[in-house]
Amino acid sequence: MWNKNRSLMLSSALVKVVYVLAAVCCVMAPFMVEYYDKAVIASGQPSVYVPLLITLYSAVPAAIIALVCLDILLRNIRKEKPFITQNVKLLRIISYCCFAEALVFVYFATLKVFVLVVVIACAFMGLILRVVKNVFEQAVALREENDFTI
Amino acid sequence: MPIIINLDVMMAKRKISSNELADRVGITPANLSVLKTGKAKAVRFSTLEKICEVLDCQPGDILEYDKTEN
Repeated sequence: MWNKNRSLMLSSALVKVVYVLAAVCCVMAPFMVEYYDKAVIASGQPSVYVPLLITLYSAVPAAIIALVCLDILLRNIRKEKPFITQNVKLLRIISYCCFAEALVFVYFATLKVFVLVVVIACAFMGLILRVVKNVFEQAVALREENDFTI
Repeated sequence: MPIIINLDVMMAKRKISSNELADRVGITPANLSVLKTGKAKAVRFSTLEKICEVLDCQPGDILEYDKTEN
């Protein structure tokens, strides 16, 4: 049956899958961008090969940092330590990464307006994570108060 | 914290060890240490009642308010 441990395992496995996907995308990015660029040129628009490649590679550091933070966060939850100061810090970093991704994609959105959807999605995700971080911050304070109530 | 715990003083007066007090009050020695060192955020009335009962004292003998410490 479905339980808490299986849910954690699934989340952890998904993070690992995204690690692999990120690595594959890093290697394959020039080919994928070239394939997309051919379609763009075929439709009579100017080439976006270099701007798109710059955008994608600029997005990698924040994505990797967010993934590592997610991995550590899941490890802490598995150790039954969800409400600790480290997790608040990790959530803050992940939210900053989302905002950083939004900023990175703003550059490409100046060339392709539909990329604004990605910008808005990243910024919204960052905002949600900030609120979750605030909730965790409050939970840590409550747990500490409970732990130090004799 | 302006609230000072004078548990050590009362324990010395009653000649009772930390382990014995913890055992008789029904809390762990680690929790008693948290209380003695002033790290506690709150004390339950039930715990305070037990401590007063065991040490035969008033809550005011254990807790003190110091305006200058803030």
